[in-house]
Amino acid sequence: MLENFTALLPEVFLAGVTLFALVVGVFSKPENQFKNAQVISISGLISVLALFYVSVGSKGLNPTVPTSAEIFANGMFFSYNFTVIMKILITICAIVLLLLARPFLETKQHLKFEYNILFLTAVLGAFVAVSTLNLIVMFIGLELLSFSLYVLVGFVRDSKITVKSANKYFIVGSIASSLMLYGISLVYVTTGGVSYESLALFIEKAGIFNLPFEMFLALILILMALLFKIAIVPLHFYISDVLVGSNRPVLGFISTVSKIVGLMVLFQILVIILPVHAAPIDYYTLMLTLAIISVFVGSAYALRENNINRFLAYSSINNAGFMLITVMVTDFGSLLFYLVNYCLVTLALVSFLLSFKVRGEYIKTIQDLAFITKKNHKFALLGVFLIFALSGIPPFVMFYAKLLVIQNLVAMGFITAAVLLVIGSVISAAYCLRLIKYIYLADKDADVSIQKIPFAKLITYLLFILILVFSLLPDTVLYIF
Amino acid sequence: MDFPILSILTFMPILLSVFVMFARKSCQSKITAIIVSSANFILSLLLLVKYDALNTSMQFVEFSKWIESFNINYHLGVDGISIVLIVLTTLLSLLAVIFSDHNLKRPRVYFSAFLILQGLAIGLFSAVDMILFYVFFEAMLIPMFLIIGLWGGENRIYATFKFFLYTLFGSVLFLVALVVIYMQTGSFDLGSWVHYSGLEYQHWLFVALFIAFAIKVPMIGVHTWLPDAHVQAPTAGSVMLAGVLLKVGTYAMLRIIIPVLPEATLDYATIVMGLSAAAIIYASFLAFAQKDIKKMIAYSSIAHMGFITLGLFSLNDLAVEGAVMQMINHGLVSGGLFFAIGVIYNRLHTRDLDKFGELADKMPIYAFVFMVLLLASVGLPVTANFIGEITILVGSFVSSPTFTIISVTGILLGACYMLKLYREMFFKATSNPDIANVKDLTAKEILVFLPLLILIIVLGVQPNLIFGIIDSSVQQILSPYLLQGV
Repeated sequence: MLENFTALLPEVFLAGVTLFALVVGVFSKPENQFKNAQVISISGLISVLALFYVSVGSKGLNPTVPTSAEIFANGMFFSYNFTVIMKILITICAIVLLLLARPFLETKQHLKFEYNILFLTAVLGAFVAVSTLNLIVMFIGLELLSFSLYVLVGFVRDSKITVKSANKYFIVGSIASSLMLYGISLVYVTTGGVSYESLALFIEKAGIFNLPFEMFLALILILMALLFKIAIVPLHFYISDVLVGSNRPVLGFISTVSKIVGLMVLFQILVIILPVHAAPIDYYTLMLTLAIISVFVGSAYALRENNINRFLAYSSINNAGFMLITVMVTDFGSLLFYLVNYCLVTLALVSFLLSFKVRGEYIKTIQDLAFITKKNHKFALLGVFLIFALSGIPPFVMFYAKLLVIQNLVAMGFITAAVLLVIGSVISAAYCLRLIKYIYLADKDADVSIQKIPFAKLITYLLFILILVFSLLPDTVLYIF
Repeated sequence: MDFPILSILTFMPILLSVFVMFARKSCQSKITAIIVSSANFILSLLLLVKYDALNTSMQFVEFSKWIESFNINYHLGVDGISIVLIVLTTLLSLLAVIFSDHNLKRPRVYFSAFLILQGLAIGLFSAVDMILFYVFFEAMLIPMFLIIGLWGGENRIYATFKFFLYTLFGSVLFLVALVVIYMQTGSFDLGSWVHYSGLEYQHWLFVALFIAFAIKVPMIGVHTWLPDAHVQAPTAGSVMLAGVLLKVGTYAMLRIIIPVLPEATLDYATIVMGLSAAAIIYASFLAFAQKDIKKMIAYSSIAHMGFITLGLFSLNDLAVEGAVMQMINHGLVSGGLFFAIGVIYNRLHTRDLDKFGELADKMPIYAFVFMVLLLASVGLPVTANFIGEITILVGSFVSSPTFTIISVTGILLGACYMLKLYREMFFKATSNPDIANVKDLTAKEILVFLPLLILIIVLGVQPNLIFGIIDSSVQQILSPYLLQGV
């Protein structure tokens, strides 16, 4: 037991860092509070990253069920390469967003150090949720993540809409949590255990085609709660209302980390309880239908949306459709590839949107993007490329991610679904073009004050260079992680 | 061949566009762009010289692993058909850059876009790996989207959206077809596709690929983006669109559909020939009715592309060689005509046919240049178009006499609207006061037109310059059909 403690080390360390940052924040002088807490948080996250890299070592990427050597405490915690890779991705997203948060909060006059602490607890919750084989522990992790996010969404309370968003997120999120908890209790009642394994054993014994009703309901409820987290249609309705009021670093966090966690948990449950070839055809029909509807609904909403936050929310629904398919076919390589690229492009877009202020405000509507061109048209051109990258036009790397998804579908014989999916991606290109029209093509001559935020700009450049490297050598994505 | 000439041709303009982008003065960016384009042009001539026309396999092959986890290779190679199109691309983009004025908005972005477009087009013509082909195929949309959207006319955003979405819709079907073929053959390499016999779902694949490329050509029914894009695009953009981007569609048909899907091609060839004949007649009538001279040339472009698809799907060597010849001719002639319209638009700022007249008196050199281009477009003997059209028609008559006879009337219609255009522009009396002060061609403009005119005449007199290069490659592509005695 104790000799396996090293595998737990990153999480324990992160919990320690969180508490330490809290203590330091409380005892610092008011003007240093944020700075100290942030330095500790970011260096803590970087150390966690280093610990992960050490523990990944040279094991490589083997998409299998974890061996018993990697499972501790009856599956309450486990650590194999899959989860570690996902945790690395989560950490990197958190570091970038935390770096972006400082100039953002500074300009908002809202430098409260608790922001960092909440970020860390959210990351810790994400870690716990993805590295367990136990439904209850997974639930606890998800709750820790969600509760931190409820607070973070409402953190910068400078408008009514923010308060509204935070409340809405809390209420709707609680309903989803209670659904999941009810599902878990049903699992406990029918199987007498709460681990993924007992679930899998029960399904294997009963046969996947004649499950008792309680079990069926339990699976549906858990699935619903997870799809809610990923924001798949028909459980997508909250996401645009939540993101519209949240501050942008948290917007980035919800559309990257929350999705990673939801997808990864779903992936683990599916891998363990549902051997691919035994899966009933209804399961594929259900998942494919949801995924394709998400792609279309996300694109259709985004086509006429003028608020940038809502726009990003709809685009994330669209992308979630693609990611759900990689989960459905339980192909870890393509899930990872899609997630890495999606996170990269989303972070780059968020930092692009954080690097300008028009009339003293961060850009809110798509029409206001036209001012960026006036100020610095080369930077606007970079924004154009980012949006092309988001829409999956080659040579940008998202194209290869979408190619993998389509390859998976065609290999399993779902050619009609593949055609529908690519038609959906034409619609998503249409909304991306609309954004480009405002960023680069439209002329706007109004005289307004435009402020640059150099730090966010720098991060945008760095992320863009990373996108370019990945675009030229897509293989590196899989090597690095 | 150790010297990676194809990679240099492809990536030199793309990489050096960075220098153009960050040039200190706008005229410096133009000069850099001219230097890079001429270097590329000379390099492509070198390719032409070194090419062994009797060898039927791919030449100047470059192969290396690119994305191993996807089984995608960096595989370039050219045969006769690609080579002539590459030379056409480098020539037209050089002329387009020379013709463009550096006093427009965001000149650095403009010239880099042209260099990138050129590089991507060359990459497309030399790609053997089909995902590489697809990447170039779609990446070309980005610079063209910006060229139309930024430097186009008043309705440019509508036009560029239409252009982008139409083409993207086609190319995603192309992507699914690629993946379906990959699942059967286990490779993205065109060579292994050609040799793979018994491909399943051929008819569906044909439909998907044909829609994709027909949009690019464009064939009748999916052509509506072209007039808008041409009218709104800046002159040099129109030249690249007509000269290079439209060829991508017919090139891909010849390169992918015909050799990889022989059964489906045989089944559908007559239908495609019928569509081509319909396009020729329909587009000619539309051209006749236009008041906007650029729109007129755009519709005549659709008619000429109809001849090319007619030739390609006749599936005999004569017609296909004529079609390749006609691809080159159409690039030269339509390119020239769009330049000519650009010249007059720069002077009079109108494209309305009613506002022109008496130009033969005011601009004699221009009138001469326009006359040569127009006669070539109509297909008069001594010009290259005559050779192209006559070989296509002789070849296609063997395959489908009905559609050939219908298409021949298209030549007559072409003469009607072209001569009407000439009469109204150059001889009609006019009340437009601007015409009195209009100046004749400048030295720069003559420099742009001269190579085009020379090539049109030289290829008309000595067509073997092209046929000699493409003959063995065409035979190679058509080999499955020739064996069956079609």
